[in-house]
Amino acid sequence: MSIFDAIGIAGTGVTVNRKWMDAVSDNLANINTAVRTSDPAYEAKYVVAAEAADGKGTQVAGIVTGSAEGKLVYDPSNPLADEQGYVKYPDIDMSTQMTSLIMAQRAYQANLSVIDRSKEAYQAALQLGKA
Amino acid sequence: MSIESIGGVGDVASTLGTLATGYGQGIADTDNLQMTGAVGGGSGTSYTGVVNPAAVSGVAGTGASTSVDGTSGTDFASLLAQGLGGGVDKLQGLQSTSDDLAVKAATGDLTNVHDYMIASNEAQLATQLTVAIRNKAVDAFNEIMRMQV
Repeated sequence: MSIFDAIGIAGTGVTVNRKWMDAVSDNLANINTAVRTSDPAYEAKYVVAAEAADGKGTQVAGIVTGSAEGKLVYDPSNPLADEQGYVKYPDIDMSTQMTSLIMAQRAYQANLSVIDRSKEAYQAALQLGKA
Repeated sequence: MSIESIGGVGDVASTLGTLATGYGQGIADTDNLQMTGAVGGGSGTSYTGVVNPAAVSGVAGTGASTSVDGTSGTDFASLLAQGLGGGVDKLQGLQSTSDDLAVKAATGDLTNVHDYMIASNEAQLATQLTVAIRNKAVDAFNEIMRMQV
């Protein structure tokens, strides 16, 4: 890490954004997970990024979960429905998740670009005085 | 393929390092030979009676051992190692990291794909850096070898 800092730092950014994509993917996968009204709904995952402990790059400080209250949906044909005909869906907004997904993807790609560019720069430095 | 080539270059670099050690020794040896030969010749030609050969050889011995070993005593290989600032060790560390991640990728234990790519890129860059510095050092060495004495 100490020789090629830019690459290592961008690597931490890639890792954080991968975890963000994982969280979004988890949320989207569970967006239709219905439970009984007496049970807790699926809790949406939100990645909290923070500066790395050594000051080089970023890291995942933790995962914050959304509420387990969910939203009640009237669906009497669902086998999980209660006496009033309600089931509980997780409180996840699909458009928000898709936006997050795009942001995570772009940030991931941006960090990969940093790795590529810094590698090119390092290689150019090695060519110093040759041409 | 890339790992093998990287490892190959690393091996080449290390073998060149040992070769350079040989060259360094060679210089020291020839210098020693020339010094002692010259002094021996000097004592042999003229001052046989006055200067006793023991003292001359003693002087030659100290002169040769201190000055020649002092200049090339950090001989070429260690000079190269100094120039790299322990770069060879770091290079080996990066390459072993890359190899570990390659094994993880093969066995399916790799959680972050980019980790391996970064590690292999870093190993490649470090190899290129080491080779570049080695080439510069060899150039300098050759320049010295071409010096008119």
